[in-house]
Amino acid sequence: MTITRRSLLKAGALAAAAAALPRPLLAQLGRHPEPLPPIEDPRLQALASRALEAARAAGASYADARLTHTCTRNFSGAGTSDAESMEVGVRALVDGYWGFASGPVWAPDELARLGREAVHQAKVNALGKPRVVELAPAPVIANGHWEMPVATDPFELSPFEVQDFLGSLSRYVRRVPDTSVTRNYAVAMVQAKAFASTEGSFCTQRRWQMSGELLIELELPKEHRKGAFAVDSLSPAGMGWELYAADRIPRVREHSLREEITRGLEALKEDLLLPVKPVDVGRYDAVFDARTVAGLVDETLGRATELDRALGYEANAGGTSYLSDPFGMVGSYQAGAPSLTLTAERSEPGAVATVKWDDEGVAPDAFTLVKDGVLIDFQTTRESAGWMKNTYTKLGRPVRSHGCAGVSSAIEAPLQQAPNLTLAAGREAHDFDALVRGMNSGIAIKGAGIDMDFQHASGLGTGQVFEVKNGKRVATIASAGFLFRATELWKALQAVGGDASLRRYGMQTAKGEPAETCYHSVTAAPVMVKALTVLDPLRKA
Amino acid sequence: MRRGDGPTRLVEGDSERILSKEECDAIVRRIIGFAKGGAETRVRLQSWWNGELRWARNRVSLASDRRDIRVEIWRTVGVGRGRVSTNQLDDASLESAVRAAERAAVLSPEVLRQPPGMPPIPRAERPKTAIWSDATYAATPETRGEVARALVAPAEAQGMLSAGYLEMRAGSLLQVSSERLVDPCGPLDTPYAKWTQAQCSMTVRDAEGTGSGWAGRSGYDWTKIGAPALAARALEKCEASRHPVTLEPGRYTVILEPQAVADLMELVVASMFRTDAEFGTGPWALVMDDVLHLWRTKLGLKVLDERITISHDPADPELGILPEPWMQPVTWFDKGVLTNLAYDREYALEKLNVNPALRGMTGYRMSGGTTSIDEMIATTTRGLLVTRFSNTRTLDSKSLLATGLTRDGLWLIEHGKITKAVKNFRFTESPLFVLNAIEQLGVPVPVFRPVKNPYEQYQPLTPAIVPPVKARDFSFTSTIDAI
Amino acid sequence: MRSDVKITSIAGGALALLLALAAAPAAAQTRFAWPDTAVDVSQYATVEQCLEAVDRVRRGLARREALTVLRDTMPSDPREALKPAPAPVTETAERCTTRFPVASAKLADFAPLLALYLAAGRDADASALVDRRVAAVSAKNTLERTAIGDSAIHIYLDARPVRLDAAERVLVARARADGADRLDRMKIYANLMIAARDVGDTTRARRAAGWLVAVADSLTPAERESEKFETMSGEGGGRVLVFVAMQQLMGLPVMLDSLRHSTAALTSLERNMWAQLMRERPEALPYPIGERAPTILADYWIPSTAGSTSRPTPGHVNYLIMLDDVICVRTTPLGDLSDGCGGRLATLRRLSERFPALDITVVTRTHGSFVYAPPPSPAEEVDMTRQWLEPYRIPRLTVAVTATPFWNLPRPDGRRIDKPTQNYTNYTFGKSSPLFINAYLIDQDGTIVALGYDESALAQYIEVLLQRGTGGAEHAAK
Repeated sequence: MTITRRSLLKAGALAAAAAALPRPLLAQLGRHPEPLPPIEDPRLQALASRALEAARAAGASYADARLTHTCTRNFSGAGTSDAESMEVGVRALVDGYWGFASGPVWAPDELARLGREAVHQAKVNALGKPRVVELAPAPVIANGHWEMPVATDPFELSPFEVQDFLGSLSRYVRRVPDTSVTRNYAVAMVQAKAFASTEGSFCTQRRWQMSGELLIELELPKEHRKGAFAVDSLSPAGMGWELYAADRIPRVREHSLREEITRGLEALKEDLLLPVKPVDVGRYDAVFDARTVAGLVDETLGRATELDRALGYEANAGGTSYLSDPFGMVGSYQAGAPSLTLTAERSEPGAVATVKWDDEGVAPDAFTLVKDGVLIDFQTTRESAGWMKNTYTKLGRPVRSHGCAGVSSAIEAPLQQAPNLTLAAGREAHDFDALVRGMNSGIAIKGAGIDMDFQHASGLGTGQVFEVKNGKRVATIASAGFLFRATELWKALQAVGGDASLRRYGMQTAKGEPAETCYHSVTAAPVMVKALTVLDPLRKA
Repeated sequence: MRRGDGPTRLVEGDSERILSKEECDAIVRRIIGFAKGGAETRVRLQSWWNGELRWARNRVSLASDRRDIRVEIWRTVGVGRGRVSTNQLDDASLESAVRAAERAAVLSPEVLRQPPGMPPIPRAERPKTAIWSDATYAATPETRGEVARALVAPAEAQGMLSAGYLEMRAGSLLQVSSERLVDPCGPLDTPYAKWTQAQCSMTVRDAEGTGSGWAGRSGYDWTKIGAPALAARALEKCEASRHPVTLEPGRYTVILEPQAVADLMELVVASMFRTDAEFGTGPWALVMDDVLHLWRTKLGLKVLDERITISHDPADPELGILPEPWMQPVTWFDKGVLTNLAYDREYALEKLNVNPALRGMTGYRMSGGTTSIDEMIATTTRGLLVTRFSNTRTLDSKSLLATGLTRDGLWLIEHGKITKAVKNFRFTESPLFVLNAIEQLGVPVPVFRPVKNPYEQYQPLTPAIVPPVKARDFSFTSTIDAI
Repeated sequence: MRSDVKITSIAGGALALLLALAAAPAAAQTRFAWPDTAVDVSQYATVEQCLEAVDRVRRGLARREALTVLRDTMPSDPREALKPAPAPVTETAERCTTRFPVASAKLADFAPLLALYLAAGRDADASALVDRRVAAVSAKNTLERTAIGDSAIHIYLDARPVRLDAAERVLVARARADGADRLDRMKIYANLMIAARDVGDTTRARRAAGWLVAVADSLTPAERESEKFETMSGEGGGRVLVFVAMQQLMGLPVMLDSLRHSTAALTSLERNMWAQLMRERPEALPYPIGERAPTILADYWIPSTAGSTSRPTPGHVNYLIMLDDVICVRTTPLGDLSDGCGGRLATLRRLSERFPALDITVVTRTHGSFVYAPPPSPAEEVDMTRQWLEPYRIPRLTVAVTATPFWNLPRPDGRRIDKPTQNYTNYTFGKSSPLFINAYLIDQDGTIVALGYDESALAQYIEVLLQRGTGGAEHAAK
């Protein structure tokens, strides 16, 4: 019997008749639509398998399906705004070609349709020249369930309480005269997702993501100076409401949010009282704060070690990678000074790419991208790990995906997305101020934004630049920026801050055609580099 | 109020990939029917479908068929207004969304309601626009597959690596308010509209990574894209761009291909609003008038070369655009003179005593000349030919001074001939400067300017028709190694 | 069929939602799960959160009231600010303060915590907190002590109910501090005076007025010409404050007595007092009391027949209000008759109903636009204005509309630049920087007697005028 949308909705209408309170979402798991069960419910596995069966029957050698149910809540002074969606996407592999189909309906017939459609898409292209896909092996997940541990589920909090809290932050800022808050909002997301594959894997996960913006302006009327700062610790995190409420979040902030606001205002005032000098173009020793280093790491090595990018799979979009010969460079390319070690994982509590399984059902491992300055690995998915087969085998390493397949909802096909990245701390217990104190003369840079080229090989940074003399910041350098080449920069690394100075930031990246956005965290420490090129970015030739 | 009837959209088969007008109307009526407590219910209903094909290293990497819906509901209860969005269309979902919007209304700041005795909202005219192509909508995965193979073959035959993206997409949009159901063209309403978009772009690189060429085109009609020509051009540029040499940064005469001109114009497009200028910010603010206590703007002043006229006519078949209420033909720059800046309806009525708002600049047609790029090259003693710009960012909002990179083809011209491929540059230049230093102009052509986000609030289709431009003294400030 | 909540009115719906405590089971995957909206404010760890909660409760109650209570039939209550806060507000504040006992409160929390104590009705704690805060500053540091005092006074005056006694106590203590800036002191006295005046506490208002006038008298010429003096009050600076103080010192009964005698007597009284206080010429009184009210010119009248008699109507008591405000028309929400534009219209109606012999004229001008209607011609705009005023049901209302003279910036800018209307120019009375209060009470001889919107004061003036009849001019003694 064909179950049409019409009959589905008729039944749905009856089911909704009982009360006016919000009703559960409907999915059609059997013959009739019914309230959406929790994602762990075994009937969802049966539902997903409809797609896999249809794909197999149509000729797929491999297929996987993702179901996502996403709720987002925006909190601000303008009220609360909710968004909720259900999506399902099916991927199929036929003769080395991938096909994908997705839509918003969870119903057995629809899943079957998607399975057939995905195969159809793949087959149409399998008519062309041969293509080989060797998926690196991944253990089958028999029936895995995971829920991200969060201290406070923001969706269980009264929105009044959240609004009171956000409002209190603005009030607290206004204790200081001549301040204003220009942006103050929070966004909470919870996503339940299920994954199933023709290899027999089935797993479900529930994860939260919390982020916000708090932008504060300060004026010093007597000195005619004005400035602003954004509270750093509200960047996207794999956390609940504790992102705002906790008195301490290791590696994010060592104290409460109010304390961070107070320190931020003090620091801003200090900076605004410094005299202003024009830029003197040249090469300088430079200290970067952790925020800038996180951006530098992410935009250089973070992007360049995406294996698909390095092999030209993003050439028509974001570009390629300066690590242009992955197979040759692994194990030998000097990506930076020996003090540079960059690791990756998707397990750090509170980081925003943290999951139990990636969007291909692979449990991500912790791995090292750069060790003591040498490039030793790339970010991989099952397909791209397959490309590394010979290299891994030669190096005596297992041929496995590092678990970097990611997608923000089932409506999109998984891509290799960045995992959480961590720059290893230096051995000495330096922090930003200590690094500055250790500098006779040079510059210090805070909160720089980075513009890279399309190979992530060189870039321009602009942010707050200060002149340092005898270990102290003595002036702000107006309209200053810096140019750098990735490898040159990392080779010029002189010192890396200690463990206590590591800070974690949530980053958003976009990749693919059409663009897909994803989030990951970067943990970095302040660093000092030699001979950084400083210039006036507004100066024409 | 009829309940129980859902949309007639079928789940099997792909014959109905977007919501029809009748389906949208029915959904809206159901939503409004669920409202309790009176006052206004506003609905924005969007659906989209994408047929995608992506390739890299001469092989298709993914082909997709994707579709989704977004329903946004605003409910005004008492003096508050709440908003929710969902993507499910069944009764239970929609009803609980309406309830949720009502609950959220309690948290919102006060929404002022108009006192009685106010004049009725006027009916808005909307123009006829071209935005739908059956050919785009009907294109099948088979078509996309065939086209992709044909695009890749020449590059592969030459030992190059082709990567690219082919897409056909369609969508529908309807925004309506319960208080205006009788008159669906109130000031905040958008009548039902459906649109298509096609895009094709590719990058051809040599295996050693010493050269890269690109070509692309977008528009609502797939039959106008001309994919084979794009493939040929990308391959040609790749071959010609191999083994580039380093050139000293500095000021050069440049021949900007239309895509490069459009890339610079993006920065201008974002600046065309009265509010910024009247606050003293942005490139169009002139001076504070202490007598009248307002900011004078550059409207009426010549700000660009007199050969430049930039305009948009909604009825122009080459500039497809969603038919919003009160849309009208507009000239932004008339022979170099700044002629219009966008404003909303409140501004229009209060400050200008006219009815329609003027929507911000989206699609546009730029005037040109008749000089071909070959002729431009032939008449250049020393200069650079630029394919396109990438990674552009405004550095200074007053002058629109920007930085960015050349990409996918940069050549040195000496004594009327292309002599060498040149390594990419970072530039520090303002589009306003470029459009004031024009030496020659060519015939305007459509460029690659696809919509990225199917849920974009304004017209999803933002084509542009742009000429090639030869300009003096373009500032390149450093060399980059990226190819 | 859906049963449950019966929503019969907008108010009911809003109430139901305000009070709804829909708890969703935590683990279930419900659509748009709405959590329990009840908040336990005693768990709030910071004072600012408490203040936000108190504000939220207060706003919610005001919104609910706006939907259920129509205030246009009720005269505005001058003692509004003295009324105790609604119970839910006080309860919320009280529950919150349990975490912040005064003995151990952090002094850094002084300002918000003082506000919170007052919201909770803990006035003794509030007082103790102020004492603790001041004691933490050395007695020599008069600058900081004064700043604390000022801060406390503002908080006392902002509180609801307003704490005039406490504010005055602090103010008196502050006044004894040396080195307090005279202009700052003047401003503080003005705040207390106005707060007291607004709630009808005339004794206190007069007291504060006396202090204000004394300080104003002691200002140096440099201080009088300073920018601080100019910007001391919204419009007209320190001079306006002295004028208000002057009226407090005279007291309404004295002024009304004078008016009973004749308009000229009142005029002389005010002008001479001004001259004494400000050491200026009597004619320098900043407001046009005693001037002849110029005849209103109009291109259109509502009702259209009204133009046959001139306004202000000779032989009648007139209240003339210049309602130029486009914003008034656009944004007055339904039912918001408590404040601003809507409040003024409600005042007009009540006065008109109470005094059938009073002639009310609203003077306004065209703008070329009317909310979201297509641009109307002046005649159409007048008609729309009439339609907009109708629901306010002001009996015998006359509206005089001038088609505003204007020009446009040259195309393509085209912005409209309004020129002053003849009425506006006439009512500046030849002063170069006129202080515009926009509402004039005019006696039967066409002389301006008082200004402003204070409904109860106006009513008393009107009564006197009506009893007196004409008789201002012949006893003129300038």
